[in-house]
Amino acid sequence: MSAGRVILGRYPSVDALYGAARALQERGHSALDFHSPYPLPGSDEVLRLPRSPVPFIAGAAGFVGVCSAILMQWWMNDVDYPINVANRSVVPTPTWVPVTFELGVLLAGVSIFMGLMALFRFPQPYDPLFEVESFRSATIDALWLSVSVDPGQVSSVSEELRRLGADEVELVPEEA
Amino acid sequence: MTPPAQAAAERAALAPMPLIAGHPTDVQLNTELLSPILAPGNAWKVLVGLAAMGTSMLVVGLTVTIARGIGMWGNNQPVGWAYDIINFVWWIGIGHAGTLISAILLLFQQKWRTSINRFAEAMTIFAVMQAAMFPLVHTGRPWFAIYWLFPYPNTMGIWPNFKSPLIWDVFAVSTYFTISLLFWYLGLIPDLATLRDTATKRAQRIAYGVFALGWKGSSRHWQHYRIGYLLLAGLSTPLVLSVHSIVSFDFAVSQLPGWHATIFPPYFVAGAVFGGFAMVLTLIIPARAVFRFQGVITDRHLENMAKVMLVTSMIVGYGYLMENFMAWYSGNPYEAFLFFKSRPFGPYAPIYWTMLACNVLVPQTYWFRRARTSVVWLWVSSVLVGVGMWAERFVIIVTSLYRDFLPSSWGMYAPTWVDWFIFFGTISFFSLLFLLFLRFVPSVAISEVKELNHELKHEQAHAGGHA
Repeated sequence: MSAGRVILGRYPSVDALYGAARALQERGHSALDFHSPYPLPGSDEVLRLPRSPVPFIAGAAGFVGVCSAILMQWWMNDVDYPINVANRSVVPTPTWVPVTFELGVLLAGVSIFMGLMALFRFPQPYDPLFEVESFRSATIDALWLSVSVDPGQVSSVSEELRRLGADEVELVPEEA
Repeated sequence: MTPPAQAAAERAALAPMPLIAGHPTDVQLNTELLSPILAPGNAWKVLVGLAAMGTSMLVVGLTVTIARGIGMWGNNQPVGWAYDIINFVWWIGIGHAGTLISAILLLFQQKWRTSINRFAEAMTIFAVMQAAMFPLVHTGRPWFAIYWLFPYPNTMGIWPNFKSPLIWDVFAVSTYFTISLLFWYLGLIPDLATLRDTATKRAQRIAYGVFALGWKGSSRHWQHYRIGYLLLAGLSTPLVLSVHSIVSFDFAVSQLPGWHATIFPPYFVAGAVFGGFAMVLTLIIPARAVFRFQGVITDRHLENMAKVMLVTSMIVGYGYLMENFMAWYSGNPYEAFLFFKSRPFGPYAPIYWTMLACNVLVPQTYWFRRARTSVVWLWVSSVLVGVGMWAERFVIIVTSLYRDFLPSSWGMYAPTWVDWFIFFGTISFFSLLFLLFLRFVPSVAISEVKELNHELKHEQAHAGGHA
């Protein structure tokens, strides 16, 4: 979104927000986003978001965790320093199950968190959006629509947002 | 009263109490839930002072232990494991309710979890921190514990033995702590952003802005966030069951009467949930009174927690019964001696009967709605359950060890002042962390409460339209 200018519009209801988004999409604006204090049901469909890769990330990391746990236990106890207690069998034993499970869960869980941070490009404590004082209400009680447009379209899109029912329209300052 | 009016009145009497009292707006919820942070009172300072004084007991206890060795504790032959593992199991058990409330109730779509999950998750993290201290310190020289506990070879090139439940414990507890912490922090991010945007002081805006990581409530973010949160909940659910099962293996794989029982894993997990819910009640009842959270933590939440405790208490009671049944049915004289003589009538009998009274009898009062809705009784009984669960761990550990197979090796156990200092010190340290949490972090999940509030309003509007 860095090439264009970002315009924000505050809407009084979810229906008004979705209506405005659909109208903008029809006019060819696709760089849209909503900002709300809690997840809005149905926003994925309105914004036409692709499926989230988070389950895939978690699955892959969990698989790596399971494999590395099996390899670790086998190599440490059977290869590098064999521990033979009462001649119990060495290759996969039920006693490996707990550590394998735990390591799978650990890697999957950590990757979910790290994956989300990567998808969000967090930490990002500064965003030009935060320069707009009234945008603070986005995490308190208000519903905002943000759209990124070419610098030439700023005034026409602002007018459009207002016409579509926005209570307030703000132009986000350019990145310093 | 006309029949329809009477029917309506009866329906109203039977309808459950609301999850959110009144019809607050988002801004009202915001102000109410952030008031402990933005407009704190003085009672908090007094409590922090007390908790900090208590924490100094922990510092003294640990310093003496590390400087002079674990010989300062009461453990000795034949009771080689005592307060260190009793307190470890007690604390880790308390930690279980947090994940149960946040993860399992989330998967079952139990809406009442929303107001209490943040408390419970914080409790989990702080309780696991206390628990982890005990195995670390009981090594005597904790600075060497890295290669005693984790797979890091010592100078002899020896690795840990993965056939031992003690190493499973290390993996289970450290995984549990990490996942609980991530789950808690992920849930906190939107609320920290709310706090950043509500705060008026510059220092608060910057501090919470840093921890909110740049959250701006974007729907593109919410999409990944919701899936990630649900997946973490899905992972935590088997994890929480595995952790206390593995703790119970520490005992169950041994040959000792009182420990060698296949019922241990489910019985330990139920006990953990039971004790954990008791601790949530113990903490949440005063906190909701002090911070005036009655609007979102309603009596219905307390009643539901009492119901969960009633169920888990009966599972625990069944565990006690089965242990006794197996002692009789196996015909093993050592088991019979332990369960029918040594525990109920031996020198530690008062602790055994305390355990039964607190864990089995006290929760039976929850069959009555009056008991479930009396805040005073809920608090008193939850403290009693906490005592009972501690007594259970004492009974399992000490009374199984002090008189085993050979009368010549019998011996008594008594804790020393260092044991007591460390135990009360961990309670104080836990309270201190919890008080800091209440003061500096949103202690109720604000974004989730707002979402629930909108859902409830939507449902009501829908129902009203049909009536």
